[in-house]
Amino acid sequence: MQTSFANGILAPMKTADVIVALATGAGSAAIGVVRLSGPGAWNIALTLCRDRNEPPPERRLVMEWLSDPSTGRVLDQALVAFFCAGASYTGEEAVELYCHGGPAVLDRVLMACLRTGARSARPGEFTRRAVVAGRMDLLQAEGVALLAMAGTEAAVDVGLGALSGRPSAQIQMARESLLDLLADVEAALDHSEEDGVVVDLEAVAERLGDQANRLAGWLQDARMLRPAVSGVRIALVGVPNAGKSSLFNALLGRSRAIVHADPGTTRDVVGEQLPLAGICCQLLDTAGLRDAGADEVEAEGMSRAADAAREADIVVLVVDGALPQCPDVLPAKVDVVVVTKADLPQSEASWLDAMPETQILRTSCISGEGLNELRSMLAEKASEVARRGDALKAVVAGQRQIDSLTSALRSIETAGHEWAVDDAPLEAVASGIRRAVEFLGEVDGSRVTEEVLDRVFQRFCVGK
Amino acid sequence: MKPMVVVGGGHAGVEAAMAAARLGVPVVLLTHDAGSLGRMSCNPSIGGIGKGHLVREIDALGGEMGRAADASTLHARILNTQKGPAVRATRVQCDRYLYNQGIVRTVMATPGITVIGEEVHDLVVREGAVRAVRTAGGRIIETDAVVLTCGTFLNGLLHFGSETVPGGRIHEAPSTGLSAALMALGVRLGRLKTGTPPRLLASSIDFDATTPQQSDPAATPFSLWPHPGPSLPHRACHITWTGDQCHAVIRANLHRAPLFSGQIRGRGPRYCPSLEDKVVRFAHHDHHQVFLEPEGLDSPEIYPNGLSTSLPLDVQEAFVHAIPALEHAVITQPGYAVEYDFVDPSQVDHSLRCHRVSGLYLGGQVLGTTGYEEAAALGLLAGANAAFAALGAPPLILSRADGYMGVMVDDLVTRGVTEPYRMFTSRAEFRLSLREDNALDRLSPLATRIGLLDASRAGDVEARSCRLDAADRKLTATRIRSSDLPSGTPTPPDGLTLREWLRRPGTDLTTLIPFDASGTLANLHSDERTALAIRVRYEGYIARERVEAERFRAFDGLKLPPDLDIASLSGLSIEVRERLARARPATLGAASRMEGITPAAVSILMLHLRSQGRHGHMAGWGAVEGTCTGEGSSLGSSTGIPGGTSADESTAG
Repeated sequence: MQTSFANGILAPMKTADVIVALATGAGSAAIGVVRLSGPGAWNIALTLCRDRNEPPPERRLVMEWLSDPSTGRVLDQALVAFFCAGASYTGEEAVELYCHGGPAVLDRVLMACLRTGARSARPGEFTRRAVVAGRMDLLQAEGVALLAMAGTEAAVDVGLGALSGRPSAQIQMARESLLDLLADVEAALDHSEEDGVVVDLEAVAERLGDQANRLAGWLQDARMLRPAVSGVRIALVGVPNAGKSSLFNALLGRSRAIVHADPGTTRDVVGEQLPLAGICCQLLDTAGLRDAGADEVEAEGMSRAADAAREADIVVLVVDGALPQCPDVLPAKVDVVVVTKADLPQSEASWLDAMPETQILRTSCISGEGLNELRSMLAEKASEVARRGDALKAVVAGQRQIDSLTSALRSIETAGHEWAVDDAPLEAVASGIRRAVEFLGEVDGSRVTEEVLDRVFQRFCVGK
Repeated sequence: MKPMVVVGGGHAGVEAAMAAARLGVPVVLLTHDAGSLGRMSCNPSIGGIGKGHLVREIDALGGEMGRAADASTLHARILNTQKGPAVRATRVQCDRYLYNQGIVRTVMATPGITVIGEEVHDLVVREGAVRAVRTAGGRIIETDAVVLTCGTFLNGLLHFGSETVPGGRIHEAPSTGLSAALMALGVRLGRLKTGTPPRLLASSIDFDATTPQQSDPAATPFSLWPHPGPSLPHRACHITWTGDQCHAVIRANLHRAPLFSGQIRGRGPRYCPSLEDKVVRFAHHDHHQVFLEPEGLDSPEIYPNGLSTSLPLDVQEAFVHAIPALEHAVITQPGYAVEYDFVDPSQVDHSLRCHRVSGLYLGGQVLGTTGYEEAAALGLLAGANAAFAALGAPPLILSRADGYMGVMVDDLVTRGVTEPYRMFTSRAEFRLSLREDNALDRLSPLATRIGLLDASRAGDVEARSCRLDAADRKLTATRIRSSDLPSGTPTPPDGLTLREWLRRPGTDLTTLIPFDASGTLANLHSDERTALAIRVRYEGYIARERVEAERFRAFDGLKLPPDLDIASLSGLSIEVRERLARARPATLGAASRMEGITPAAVSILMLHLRSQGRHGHMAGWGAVEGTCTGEGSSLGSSTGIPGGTSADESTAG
């Protein structure tokens, strides 16, 4: 093994290996950044630095000629930054190589790193190492993931907020408050009778309610913000053969979904990105809603369609203008009704009059009639949805955080409700508060389960 | 077979010797004074919240404490009756002389136990295993298994004001050789402190000025096994309060308190503070409760619970006389503090066997606990496990889901102690399942299987379990028409089952008996009715507790590989690394329960395990067999309880 220039702060080689990945996007660019992390990263980089004979400076860019140590072939001329353990993104010894951005250049630099002893990083591994090293908690790590993929202003604000540590501190505060409450309940259980400790349980119940309201508020904010952060969901729903898939393809401008005259062709929910006036939207084509004649697969498709409609931010009800059937079950909320096949003879649909609040548009995918109006109508609604919520105040964002926080809230509410209504034993109330504390710990990662880690790190692209 | 040696004859030593004898292993029990077996060093009381649970578990495993307490009970109470069933607990006042006599009689009458009144001075260890003990008189007793249950006797030092006297408790000499012997073997010792109040002459107390508290006739005995002999007549206890005058006396004399002068170095129990400690730490409380407990049926003495102190005798007299009803009280024995060596319990495994010395087991207060009940429970486990080792049988290891005994051992072994360990219900994450009423159902089938219960008790356990199962089935199978229900009971049109009816608030099992023609319910003993009703009424909560606790139990399936290089783990503080390196927890679950291991540190450890697991570097995802399964979160034992204690009991145990 070569001598490391770095000193005793380095961890021994055997515990972690050196990982390498391209930190910038695929395709040609002016520069591309290759990142190395792990004990021994300096050695690998230094082996590539053809002309360097002395220790490099820390955290300063130095110009280097990179060459393959086995063949002596020059790989690129690059700017190189060396980071000491404890002072890098991952918390480990690390190196960043700012190379020329051609894919072939980056390829050979990466290959040389791999040949010299590094291995390819797995998705999210750099950030995971940062979490392991205690450089950031899970909320911050997810903030990084958000920033790496941010497609909206709100996503950037939420990601930066998470990085600042403010949401982590707020979750921590909520945990502390619940632990205080738990301490009071436990004192009542263990010490009120024998040790004369007096606990005002009514006040405890009231404070429990305050905590529930606080968490519920955060969840409400997160739900409002979701479209802005992860895109506005637009669902096309309606009876079979109403023309949903045709409309889907027409809006996308390409033939993405299969269109066929047989009713019930679409079985699953098909989703595609659709930018509308600069707002990131997701357009969802769904299986037709009908009662009879559906087989098991189609039934599952319909249940997914119902879910998609429920979770959508904008619901578009698609109606066949030539045969305007009303679905047996109307979605709870319909934002736009599109009457399709305007190119065919139209029939009367009196049931549509029952939806006076809803805007109705006639379109034809053959003639293109009404499609531009529909686009601008959807864009207007999407921008309205995406304006909701205050990204600068978000505490949680993203489904994983929302799920853990929801579980925490549910535990508190169950405890409080049963206590008030069913006279639940005080021990059960205590368990409810304990569970809430643990779920809150899942939110920021101070209490980690495997499940949570999987969910966090599966969302990263390589090199982050 | 060489006899097993038990060193010490307190609550732990007695249970250790009796458990071994029941398993058929001969025992030599060595104690300073053979007449002191099972002596109550401090208050004449057994049970309490968490402690009553332990007594029931000891009883379920065939132990003596419950029966001995029942036979000497003068006063009984059920605590926490207004709270849930899991924290409901029994506490009794005993005649301390009858308790002691009962234990002496039982031990002496047990075949296989030889009691020798000598102090053990040294351990003979060869090749890392115990070979013999040497007494102060020079006698050598060969053995392969030693159970140390020395209580507060290791280098015990009594403090009466500024005066110090070597002793394990008043009028009894300390054990002086064993500490050095243990240290020579590389066992780490620490120093703890506990205390006891002065005893008062009953005839000098003005009971008219106190609030009497009568014994509760509804309280059931600890032991559910058939009882020999009638119970004793019950006596009242009495309550009085300290006040400004008393506190003023203490404040004026704090400079003479060994606790504050630096004379006492050992750490005392936070939950049983001395009166001077309470006056200083809880200065905002202007009075503290004093519970006057009779020492015995015919005893002239009273134990004033709440007045534990090590102030000099003249100050004790002055502050006692400043308490209403005690103005003329005569002190028959001064209060004092005792400092003693203990063995940090992180040096024993879950079978209570010392890591360093094969064949050496520890139990009781020597492991850093406080209280008779904690001591007896540990003594029973240590004695049984030493006996199982002698028999070549696997050890008895209870999990945190099995009982408070499992919780206590796991807490002690994984967390160590910095202050005397007292049992609380908040330490148990499966609290709703670990109740006094079901201790027998939880533990006795196991005790039967491993030979801790004799044939007649095993039969009792079997019969009880049959009665309960039959009744449980009956509750589900029997449907009552709405017309048969008492008027005004809201019912669904097709009536309801007895089970559904029992779940409704205000229904007890006795109400249902007339509706069960088979007589199955009527057949239940009264304690079985209580147990069944609680089981049914709270099964929803209990199921939920189980599911949620299991979520976090996964940590116990994550093995920390023995070759894990803890020193090199980045992200862990030096303190955490040192603690882990010293204790070497076997699983992530055990690590998460260790003192000083933060949740963040646990997360980091887990991430390390995962990243290594993915390389195939370790096979560490398999479940751990045997020890410490069934645990839930680490939260239970780390929850901070604010120190609002105002009228603690002082239990020197």
